[in-house]
Amino acid sequence: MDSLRSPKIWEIASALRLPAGDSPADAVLKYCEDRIDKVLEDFPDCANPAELLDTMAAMLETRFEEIRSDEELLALQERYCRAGEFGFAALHKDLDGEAFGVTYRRLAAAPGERAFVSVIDCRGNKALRSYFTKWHELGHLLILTDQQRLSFRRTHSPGTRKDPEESLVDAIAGQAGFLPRFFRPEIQPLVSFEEVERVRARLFPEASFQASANAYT
Amino acid sequence: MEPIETVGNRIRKLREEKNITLETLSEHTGISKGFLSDAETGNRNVSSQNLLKIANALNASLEYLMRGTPAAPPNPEPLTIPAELNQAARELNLSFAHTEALLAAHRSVVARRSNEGLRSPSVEDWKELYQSIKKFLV
Repeated sequence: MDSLRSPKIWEIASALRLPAGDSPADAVLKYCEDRIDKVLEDFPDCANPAELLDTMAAMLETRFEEIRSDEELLALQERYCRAGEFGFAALHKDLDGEAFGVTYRRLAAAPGERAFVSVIDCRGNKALRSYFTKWHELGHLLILTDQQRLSFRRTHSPGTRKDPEESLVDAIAGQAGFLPRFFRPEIQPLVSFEEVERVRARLFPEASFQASANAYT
Repeated sequence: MEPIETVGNRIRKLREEKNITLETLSEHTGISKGFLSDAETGNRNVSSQNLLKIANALNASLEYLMRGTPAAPPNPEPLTIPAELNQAARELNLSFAHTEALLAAHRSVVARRSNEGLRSPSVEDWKELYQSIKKFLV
């Protein structure tokens, strides 16, 4: 993927102090893989993708909030704004159109509380992508540095081309959300639609068929 | 924040700050009240899986519960008021504190999955944001 060779990816690898070599994207993916492996060492009972997702969210200091209707969005917005999280005032705009999830750094977190909230849009068809969206938001947090935090707003400009960071985070989400250690034992030599659906239902019930098929192939 | 010595102490402190009883925490985690009580007093070790359940129930930082060190706050960003916000603040006659609160609200977004790019807020966007949060501002 061309976007994974863009200067932006070199910047991300550099901010993470990774020896980027010829492929900074591979270096970043390896960095994320190593971080996840470390968490799995610390949490050996983590037995399936859903538990890994839960654990990684906790390790990365975020809490998922799912909204399934406009009413739930407004209620969540009101609740967080009342608690001093004014970023939520723009939640309806942050999730309009083709947006699937958004992560806020909390402005009023008490000591010992999680630093972020990730809101996952599960309204209508967006629900089909909720699993991948969660991993996408965690992907951003996995590579978040102060430099990244600043550049996120500066460089996510409108345009037809997908931002390279988004492509990278999609790759991280695809890798982490369909981790071979969970996936491989289930794989059968003959791939069929039924087989992909069986694995999806068993291991990744929140994931779309498309994402599961991509992981399978 | 002063470091609190043990995992149990940290659990108790956060639980009490949130006015959550042991019974409620037990219901939310599926861990017995007796075990939680023993864990808080240091008489039982808490497994990583149980610590995760407790952290989820308390919306606590796992890092803080495990090691007693809260997540490092981000380095302070330079305070640069965008021209559009500056104009909105002048037109709305906003105080500096309220202008800063608007900027902080906008800056709190750290990730967003979308097929569309982000665009810089216009003057009207800043005004709309202010209208949304002014009732919550002190």
